[in-house]
Amino acid sequence: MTEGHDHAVETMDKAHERAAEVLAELVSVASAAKVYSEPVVAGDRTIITAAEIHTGMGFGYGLATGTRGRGGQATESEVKARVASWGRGRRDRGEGGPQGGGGGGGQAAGRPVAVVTIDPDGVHVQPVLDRTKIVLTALTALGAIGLTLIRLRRAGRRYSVGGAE
Amino acid sequence: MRGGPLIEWRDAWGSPMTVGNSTITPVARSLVARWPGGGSVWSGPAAVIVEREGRTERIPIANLNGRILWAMRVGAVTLIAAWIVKDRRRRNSND
Repeated sequence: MTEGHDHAVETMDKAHERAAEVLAELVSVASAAKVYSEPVVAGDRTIITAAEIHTGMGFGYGLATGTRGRGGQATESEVKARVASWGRGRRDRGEGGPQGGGGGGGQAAGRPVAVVTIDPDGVHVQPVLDRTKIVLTALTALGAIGLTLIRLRRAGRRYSVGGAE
Repeated sequence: MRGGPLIEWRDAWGSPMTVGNSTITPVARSLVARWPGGGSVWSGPAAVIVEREGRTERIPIANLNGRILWAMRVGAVTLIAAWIVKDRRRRNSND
């Protein structure tokens, strides 16, 4: 293919490699140092907090190799200009040549799980309850159950009126 | 995406810390999922290993929040699925 196409493919490869690097950094969360805090000493007590962490990411991209409508392939400078414009919201209705785009996103969340206390009596683990999250989940579950029940009853009525009677 | 298996459970041991006459080693557990367009990692505490006066004790750390939340989610989904199945059976028996 053309030099411009090769440049676009090379750019895609670089994006893929960068995404792999980001994922490798993401996996570094899977370590005890990230889950447990540094110990805090207060008098004869030492306290360590333990948290759960969830991270995730995803990305996608595509490359289309087109041909110019009125003669020949895009020049390298045209392809470079298009590649440089990716992700900037530019709507380029070009005549062809290699075009592509990509996007990605990620999220991270953490929540305390337990407090480990070390004192002269020994080591104690106290769980941490996230009441807000529990109440929100309970309300969501009740809402889903209620909506399902209403829909089933409505569907049942419709069925008995226009259905198998 | 390369760099390891698709789904992996792993235990990670932290560096031991000495407090008084005890040595505490935290242990974390992680679930790593990778797919061609990204990945996801969950990490949480599993236990603390306590070495004191020549004895080693493993104290598990229960994720009470997680258990309550999952119990509610699974309970709601099971209830909804049971209602839907029951409703379909009732309609089929009416036909």
